[in-house]
Amino acid sequence: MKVKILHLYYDLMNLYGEYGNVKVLERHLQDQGFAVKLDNKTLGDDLNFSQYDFIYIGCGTENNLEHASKHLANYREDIKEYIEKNGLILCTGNSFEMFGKSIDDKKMLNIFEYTVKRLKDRKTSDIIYTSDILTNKIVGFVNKMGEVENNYHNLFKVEFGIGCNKDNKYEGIYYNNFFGTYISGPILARNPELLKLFVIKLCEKKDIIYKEIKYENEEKAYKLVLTELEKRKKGYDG
Amino acid sequence: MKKAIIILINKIINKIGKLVGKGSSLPGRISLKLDKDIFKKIVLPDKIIVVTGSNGKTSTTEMICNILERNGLKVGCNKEGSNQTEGVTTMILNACNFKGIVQKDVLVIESDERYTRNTFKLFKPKYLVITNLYRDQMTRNGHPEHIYNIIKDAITDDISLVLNADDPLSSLFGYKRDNVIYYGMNRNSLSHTVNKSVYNDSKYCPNCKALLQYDYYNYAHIGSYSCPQCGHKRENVTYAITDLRLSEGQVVFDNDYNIKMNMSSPYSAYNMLAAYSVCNLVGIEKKQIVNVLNNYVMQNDRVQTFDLNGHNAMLLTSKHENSISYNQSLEYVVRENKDCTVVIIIDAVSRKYFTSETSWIWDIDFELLEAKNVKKIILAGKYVYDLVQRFDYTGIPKEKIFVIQDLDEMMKETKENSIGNIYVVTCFSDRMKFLDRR
Repeated sequence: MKVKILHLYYDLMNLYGEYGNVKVLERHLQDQGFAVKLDNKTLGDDLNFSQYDFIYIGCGTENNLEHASKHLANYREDIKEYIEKNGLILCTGNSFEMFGKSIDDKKMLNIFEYTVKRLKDRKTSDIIYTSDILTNKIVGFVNKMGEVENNYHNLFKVEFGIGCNKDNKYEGIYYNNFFGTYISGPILARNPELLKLFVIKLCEKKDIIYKEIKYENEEKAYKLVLTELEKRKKGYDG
Repeated sequence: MKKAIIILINKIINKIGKLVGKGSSLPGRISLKLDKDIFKKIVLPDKIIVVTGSNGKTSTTEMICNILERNGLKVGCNKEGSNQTEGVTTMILNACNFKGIVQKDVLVIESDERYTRNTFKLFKPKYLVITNLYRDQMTRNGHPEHIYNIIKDAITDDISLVLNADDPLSSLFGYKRDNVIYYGMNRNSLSHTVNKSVYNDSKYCPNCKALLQYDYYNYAHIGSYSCPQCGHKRENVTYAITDLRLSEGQVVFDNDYNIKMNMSSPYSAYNMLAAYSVCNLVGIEKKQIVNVLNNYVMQNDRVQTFDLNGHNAMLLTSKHENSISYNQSLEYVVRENKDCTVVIIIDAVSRKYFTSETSWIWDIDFELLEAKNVKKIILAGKYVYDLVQRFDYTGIPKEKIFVIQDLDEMMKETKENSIGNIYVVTCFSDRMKFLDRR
């Protein structure tokens, strides 16, 4: 069975080792028996979303994001349709920002209602998040320069570290099969359950029975980071 | 408060701090609290050199100091102290007499990239050397373009910029600007035309984001480039590495000056060239500079050699959260081309702050170790499983890789079962954990 992945802006939006997300997903899908076709596309390329089973966009500099958003604006209706038809998308780092209404006074794709305010200084932190759709906690790092306002589709609850907006304890965007989060880097490599969630979704889509496979090293890496962050959280909580 | 008193306080606290082994920031912090305008009341030398950039600033600063000192100048330098604003203040006030006159011919200051704009509010350098800007400590620095914007805030027209022409991002400070001196490395046997790194931060022009065209790369994205859209390009250089022969440990400056390198790599050649350029600009003859640089041994060397249970061992200090620094070490191991065991340790990400962020592991070209001479790889430390995951995506055969989280066990394995030479690749934060267990 074939599965097609699009790594969009693979060279422009790949600031924190994010190609790792695509690598681990590809490997895990192969382990399920899929033949994976991976397309790398970027500025200047023609985009046709409907042929893909999964689209990934990583984090970029604020400047690179602006260039990506201008390119993607040419395909606004297509990407909106993909999302409305339950197409699977993962955006990490700042890439989800362009799917909202605006960043400061710059108009964005306007697919979701949220707006983004650019911060004067960067906000960074290690994070622990939880989510109703996951049993385990999410670990990672946020390295952002925006505050999200008017977001009605939160993905995570903040347990430790910063979220989308300093005034509440939520983070990320979750709508249909659109997953967006400020967490940067290879989030799928670092969170085995989240990776499994996408693998299962793709198995379901292709009517393939998901096989349980143990990835011991990935589990160990995850548990170590979670333990370290929880120790850290305890220190903060007093 | 009288400046003489502040200078005295600065000197006293600095002395006490040194006795009890405290850092160099406190005296400067107190002095600035006592009088935020203290710099308006002291007399600085005309020649002030500031060095900043992602990599190589400590080595470059150290070399500049030594060249100038060996040529008879009285030099004030923060090479042993903090490179943030307060530490710089400590050093300068310490060099003052009680009339507030700095008793040095020249000040050479290493400046943390993010603090340059604060430091330059106190005083302006005559020369600002920017070595390069690339992915480094992104948990604190955000990303290179972010650091670019911060430094840009600090630069005024009266500062002469001494720039690495081969780095598209830091050379952009000189775009359509006067008062810029460039240095760079000409095409040589090490230059190549394909960038094989896992990421390329200069695929797009940092100025206008059109595709950059490259004639050649010297390492990573450092090389000769031009932008067909906005015209940003590698400018003609005043100071050049005209040849680099790593196997002989030789580098040639401006066609005429052969220099023997103690630790030969393109990275150190660039640092030496930066030092050579700015020293010549302040009036030292090239020949005199080269005399000092020949066989130069770094005081605070990132490389340490020793015997380990009958094996020749070398510790290559590499900065965590800095893929280019790691690549530098890995390239060295491969270039040496001796049968070897490579030990990689990630136990604490930073010695200065807490983070469990390990994304930067994915930016390192561990694929380089798919080399014949690398017989065995030992991965160790707390974050070893993040390393293992990354190694799973290289083509290195699993039989070569030994995963040992515990550092005592790692040392036992390294001592007892290493093949050939031993190269230990790790950070300042972790290197004593290896050295102390020998």
